[in-house]
Amino acid sequence: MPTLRTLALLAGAAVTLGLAAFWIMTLPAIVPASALPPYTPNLDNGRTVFAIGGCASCHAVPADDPDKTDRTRLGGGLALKTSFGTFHVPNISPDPRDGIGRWSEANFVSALWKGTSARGTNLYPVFPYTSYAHMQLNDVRDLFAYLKTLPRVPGKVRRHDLKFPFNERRLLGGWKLLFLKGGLFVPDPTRSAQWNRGAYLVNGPGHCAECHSPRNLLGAIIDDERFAGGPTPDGQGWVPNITPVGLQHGDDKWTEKDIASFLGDGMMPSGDFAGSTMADVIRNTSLLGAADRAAIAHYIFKLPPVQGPTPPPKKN
Amino acid sequence: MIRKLVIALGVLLLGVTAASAQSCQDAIDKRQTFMKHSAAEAKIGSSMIKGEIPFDLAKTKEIYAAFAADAAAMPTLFPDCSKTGDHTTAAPAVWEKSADFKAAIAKFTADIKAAQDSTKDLDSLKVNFQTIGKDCGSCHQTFRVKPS
Repeated sequence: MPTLRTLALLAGAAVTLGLAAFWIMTLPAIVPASALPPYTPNLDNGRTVFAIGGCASCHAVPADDPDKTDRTRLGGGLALKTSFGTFHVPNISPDPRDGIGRWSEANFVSALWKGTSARGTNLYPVFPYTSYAHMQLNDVRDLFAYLKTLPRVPGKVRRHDLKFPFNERRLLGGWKLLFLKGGLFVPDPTRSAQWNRGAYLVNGPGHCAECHSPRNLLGAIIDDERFAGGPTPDGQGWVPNITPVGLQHGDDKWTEKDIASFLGDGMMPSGDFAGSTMADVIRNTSLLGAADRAAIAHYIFKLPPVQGPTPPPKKN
Repeated sequence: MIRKLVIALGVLLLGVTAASAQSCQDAIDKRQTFMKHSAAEAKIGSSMIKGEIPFDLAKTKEIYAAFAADAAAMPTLFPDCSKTGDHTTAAPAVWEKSADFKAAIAKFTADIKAAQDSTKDLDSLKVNFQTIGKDCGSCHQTFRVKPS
């Protein structure tokens, strides 16, 4: 019959093993330099990826007047308020001290694909690596090369202001195990080239679902309700459902052409202009080629209808 | 006598409060009517640019006139008491950054004026609509929230 002492020892061993397993399983994953074959980056494509990736929307040094923001100065500093606390967007300019000037290409690929920083720590998924993980390697490399051409902006951004336990980066390893479903984008051969291009832009670099989907208590997208809209992270606004449930509802139904032209100039079928964070998304998508806007529109237009959470009632 | 006076004053006060509440909601309703009208007109201009309807110079003048009336009315339609109210989507920034808000309306006004002076054909309409459309989007980015 086991003594109390043996039991205690067994329990201790189990806890230790459990902690060790957690420690190992949550080690931040990286992409080694050896995984990157020789390559000559394409800066033009890098600029396109920069636009669809929406990098400037969060990382450009904010200005009072959004039109005066210099979208090439990626010194960060924007404060993003969420229910977990306030995130302060980091400097990703090529500044060697305060930005990512000393990052290697493999560091950058690790950040986008694995959510791991150059220091080997877990990044918060407020940086949408859950989408960027689907990006093609060459797109990531072109983007890195393009970022290197932008001005160095000195100035370290303050640390995130998060509540316990969310301030423990190690725990994000557990979050990633649950929610980071990597894997490069795989084209669907039964669909057209245009649909596949749209699917890639929307789900990879464009990370549309990151705002246009509801999230669970741990801040991960609810898979079954992708693109079905939900509250803004700060809880002040509502992001619309962009499946047919949202776009084919009410007086002004969207055509595929409407979506494409909206991504160019921000005008909705009602004649109204997008505001809030979407106004800045339009600044990015307006820089894409018309074919890419048409591809995004095609993919979005063909999304299956999904009912999302119910927005708060309009005050009457 | 005093009692009557108090009642009369009370009634008066009630009336004044009701009237000001009314004008606050009025301001909200009015600014939304202006905005909806501008949207409907913008849609017509956009249809010309997309080639869905033929270019019509006289019609573009009406469109710009609608925008100008909208821009002229806006500064008067955001009294402090209209921060909240039925259906309003005005962001707190309208009052917190009121100088920026006024500057945005001034830019909108100036761009409409320039468009009125320079729109002669489809190409010039296109150029002017791009500028004005950016004004619309920028203002909505900072000064409007959609809570539902």
